[in-house]
Amino acid sequence: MDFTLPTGSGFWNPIAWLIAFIVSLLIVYIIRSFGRRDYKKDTEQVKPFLSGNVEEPDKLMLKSENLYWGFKESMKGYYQMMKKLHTGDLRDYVLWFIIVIILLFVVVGVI
Amino acid sequence: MIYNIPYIAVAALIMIGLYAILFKRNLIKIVIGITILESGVNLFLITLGYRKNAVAPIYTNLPEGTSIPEGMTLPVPQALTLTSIVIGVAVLALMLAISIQIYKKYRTLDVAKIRRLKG
Amino acid sequence: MNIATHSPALIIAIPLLGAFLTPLIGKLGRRVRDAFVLIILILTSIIGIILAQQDYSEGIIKYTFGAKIPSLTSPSTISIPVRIIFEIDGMSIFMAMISLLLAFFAVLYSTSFIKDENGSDRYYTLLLLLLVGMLGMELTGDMFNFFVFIEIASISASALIAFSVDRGESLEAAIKYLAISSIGALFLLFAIGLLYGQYDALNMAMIANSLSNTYIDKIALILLIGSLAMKSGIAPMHMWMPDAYGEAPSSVTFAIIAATQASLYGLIRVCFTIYGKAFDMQAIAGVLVALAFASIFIGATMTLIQSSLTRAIAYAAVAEMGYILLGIGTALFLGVEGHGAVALKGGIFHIFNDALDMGLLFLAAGSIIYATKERDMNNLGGLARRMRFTTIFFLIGLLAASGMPPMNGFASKILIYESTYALNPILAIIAILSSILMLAIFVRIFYSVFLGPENPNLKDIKEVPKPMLISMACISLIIVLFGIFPSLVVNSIVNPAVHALSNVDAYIGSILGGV
Repeated sequence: MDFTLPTGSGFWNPIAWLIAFIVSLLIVYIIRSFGRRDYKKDTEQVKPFLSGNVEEPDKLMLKSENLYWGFKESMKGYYQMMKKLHTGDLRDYVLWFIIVIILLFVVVGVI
Repeated sequence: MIYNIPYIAVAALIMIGLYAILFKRNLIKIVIGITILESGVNLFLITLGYRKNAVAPIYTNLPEGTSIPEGMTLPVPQALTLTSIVIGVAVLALMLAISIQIYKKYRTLDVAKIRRLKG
Repeated sequence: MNIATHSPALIIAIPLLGAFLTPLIGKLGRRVRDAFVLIILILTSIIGIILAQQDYSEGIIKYTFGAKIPSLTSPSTISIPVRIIFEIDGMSIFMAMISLLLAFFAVLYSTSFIKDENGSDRYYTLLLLLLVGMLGMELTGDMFNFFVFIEIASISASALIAFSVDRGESLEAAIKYLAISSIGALFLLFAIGLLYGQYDALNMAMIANSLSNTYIDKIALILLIGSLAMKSGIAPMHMWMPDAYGEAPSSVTFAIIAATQASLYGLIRVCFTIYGKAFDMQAIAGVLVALAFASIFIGATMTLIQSSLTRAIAYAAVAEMGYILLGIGTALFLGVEGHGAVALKGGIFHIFNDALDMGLLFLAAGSIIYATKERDMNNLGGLARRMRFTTIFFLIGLLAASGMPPMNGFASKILIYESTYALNPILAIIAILSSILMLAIFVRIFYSVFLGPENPNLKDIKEVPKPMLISMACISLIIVLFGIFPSLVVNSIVNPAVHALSNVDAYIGSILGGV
């Protein structure tokens, strides 16, 4: 049974990908087993390092608005324009439909 | 020229319906605009089936001298229009029912204010 | 009565009868009604399988309503087809399989999702009517019949969106959906009237045969494409989609995804079969590709500023519809051989994958809303400790939707990338970058809902009940299987659909008898 999917100018074989993935997982496990086994569980040695500060548990929660802040800040102009366009008004939804119909008229009639 | 008047009426009804949908702020007026648009499209469907100097497509008690079937108007658009009118009634009933519930929740029928889902 | 001969009529009749019997049987109790709805869906699926088997072995099936023998398309005295004819080829069966699969799992999920709500009798009636509308849209060969079924589907869907009447936002989403659907369907009816006035035919095969390149046909094509694209959520007419998908109960969203894709099927049918022979579709294909890129970009970037969970996933669904339209637009541009066939394969395969992936994400979001009663992502966090299975299913859906190997999203997206590269290399680069952006979006949602420290308000939530877990597990199993064996799926289901779309003469010849 042939498992490859022929795309236009190449092919994609997920069974080969899975075999490569399992081999790389084995390599990761072998590398991990070179580590030290004499660590103490459930103490400071396994906690993530937060630059040395001691944070209280209720301050560690990050709201979803604050994620990707840099990306949103750099595209602020685009987002202002998009928020103004997505008004939520029913009449604007129909207006966009009429605009696309007129655009299609122009394209099909002229070209 | 006189046979083009129904088509001009169709264009006028569709324009009035679109004007009511796009420029009126009351939700009930927008619903009425959708109904006027639907009337225009139904009129268009009926007008397609007309033949000059023809009678209704019923076989019993035909007036004298009508040729069958060239002397009758087309019956298929009449069936399409009936179906479309029934669908329009169902849509109108559902839209008005939802508008009543919206008035109970939002306390206004102004489309510019029923905009909690934006952005 | 031979079931195999009458299966196209039975597949519409059984859910329709079941829809109107459900409130009666609901008087006997909740479990009886749930079992009845599931039995109706299993019967419909069995008839769907019989149809599929018949179609893949014998070719195009045609069924004439009201004739002496169902395959007699023209009456004995007239030589043109005058009755309503269902014409089922490979593409119709593909879409019907998607609708049946999604409806079955939506009902299985709803048996515990809406257990505590009242009005659940009418919910199941409307869900079965939505299934009737979708199946009718996909199997019919008659333009006016298509309009009737698209109206059935939109009326049922908008009544289902307004299911939770105690929240004002659901009602607002429902009236927006109903107004948009109704205006789009009226313009669709206007275009059908234009085509009827020109050619005195409502049958799709007859219109395709007698189409000539007049100006009125161009107007009809523009109105058809415009209204069907609006019903499929293509930018810039996509704005009803985040409202409707974000406010409906999640099992309803699962079924409405299939209804949206049935409208996209209508667009494919118009562009390829009806107008395929007589028109040069290059200009329209260019506009469709441009609109597809607008959908992908707008959908992928607007997700980042949403704070409601289902609304964010709905914007990602807009982007996925853009990908499907990109595949189809490229196939229209390049013709249906060579790279165009690869693009069509990618687009059609992506219809199935998008339904499964987005469906799984909406089901997982529904489980979170069911367990925590909280729709806002700012108040959620650290749920992976309590809801382990939901986390795993959301992760599988996330990886599949952003096109990670070995899931099924990658298999269809690579077909779309390669064929878009043949069109213009810059377009392929934009498509791949947007795919990476979609992964970034889903990682944001996944982190803010599931990972992180535990929220003290959400200390005592439990995992969701079994029927919801079983439906999510089955869908993720299908996703993983489609990802590991994509060539099997493409050869058995997608290739017949592509053949059926590129072979317009077979479609026309089977109704008109070789004319």
